[in-house]
Amino acid sequence: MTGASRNDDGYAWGDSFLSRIDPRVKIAGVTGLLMVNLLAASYLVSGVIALAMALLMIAGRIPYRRQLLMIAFPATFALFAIISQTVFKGGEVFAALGPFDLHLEGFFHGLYLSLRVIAGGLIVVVLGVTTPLNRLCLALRWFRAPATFIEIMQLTYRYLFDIHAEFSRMREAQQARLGWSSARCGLASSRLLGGSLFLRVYERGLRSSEAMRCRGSGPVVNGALSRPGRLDILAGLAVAVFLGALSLLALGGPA
Amino acid sequence: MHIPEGLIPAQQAAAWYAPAAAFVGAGLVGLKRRLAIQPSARPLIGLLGAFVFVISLMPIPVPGLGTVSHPCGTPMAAILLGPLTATVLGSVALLLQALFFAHGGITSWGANIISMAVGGSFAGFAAFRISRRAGLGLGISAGMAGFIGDLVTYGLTSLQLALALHGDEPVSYVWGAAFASFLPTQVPLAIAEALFTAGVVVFIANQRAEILEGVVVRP
Repeated sequence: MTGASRNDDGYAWGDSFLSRIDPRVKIAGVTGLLMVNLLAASYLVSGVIALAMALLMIAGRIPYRRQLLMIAFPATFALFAIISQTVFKGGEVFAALGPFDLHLEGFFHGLYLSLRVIAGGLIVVVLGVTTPLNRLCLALRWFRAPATFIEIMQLTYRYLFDIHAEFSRMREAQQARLGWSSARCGLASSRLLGGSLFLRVYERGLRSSEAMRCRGSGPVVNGALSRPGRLDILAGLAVAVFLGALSLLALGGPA
Repeated sequence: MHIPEGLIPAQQAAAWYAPAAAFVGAGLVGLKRRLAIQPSARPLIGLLGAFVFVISLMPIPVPGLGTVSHPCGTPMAAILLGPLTATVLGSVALLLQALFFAHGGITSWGANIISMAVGGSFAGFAAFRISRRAGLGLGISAGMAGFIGDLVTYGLTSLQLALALHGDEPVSYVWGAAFASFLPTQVPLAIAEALFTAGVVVFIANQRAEILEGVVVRP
């Protein structure tokens, strides 16, 4: 889990044009795209967004395995949307499945919803995978997000790595002592693991928190983003043009 | 289960955002005050935020429904830090999961906060308090919190899905169907969450009781 996060940050720090774009531009662009995706109510708009995001991920050299892993959750919900709408939304009945009638109109609405879910998922993935958390936090502060919220976000993120390190160490030790040899033994071990993990990470956190305070480190997010450069302006313009084109599509294109 | 980006309509997404913002705002005010008085609370808060993140990122497939369910973690955070702070931790965990795993979403963030962060925290906390007032032991009360908090979260998520996807059927019918579909995986998960919450809280009480000092553990 946290290994994956580390990979994300590893990619986000990499030398790709997507990672170099100012996070403020990305946040503004992503917000616009999410709004258009949700409000347009059009197959075409969601389809174009999904395609554009997929191309962007390929162009940005985001690893394919990572792309597939991240889109797995929205994809399961896309399936859920098709099933639920085919059953619950009226229209012409084209088949029956036990006590449920399957509706053609509902099926097509489900397809649209699934496209919207996939497009929305891809938009968020592009932002998450290409932006390191500290730059994201700085950008959120620039957009006036509450400092306490940002601080909790950074603390949570930091502790994820501590939990991962301690968890691996303790579970290996338990396995070596046959702590998971039966279901009953496993249950007792999992409770012990949960409690011990909590206390060990807590104590480690207390020590580093004290050390940070002694060094004069403040709680509020430090640093500032540099002024937007040529790449950021170009990216902002490209997103604005793309959003304009999508809006025209939504207004004049097929529903 | 987190509702993904794009599934719920814009009006409903906005409607869920409003109460979520109120709860998170109130939690942030309290948290800011707490951190100013007690800076040493930071490790506990960060740690519980990370616990909520990890616990609620264990997807278990729901047979026949094409989706996943998972434990919540917010009831345990509510017992140790209070429900409003747990709401903030839940919202942070949900945002990080949406960004790094596409597990949840940005426009559906408000709806997810209401079901997992607010519903799980407040229901779990209420179950804990009522159990303690009824004279039940610490472990059983914490277990009740985990069990009830988990089921309330899924009840709320099912309601949100029903409102968004009911089509031409009554919302109550779709709500019932969605909740019933989750039950085969959710009841065992709620029991597992109850055992885990009870185990961790009792372990902390036995090993480091000072963490629970001044916290709402005593009846």
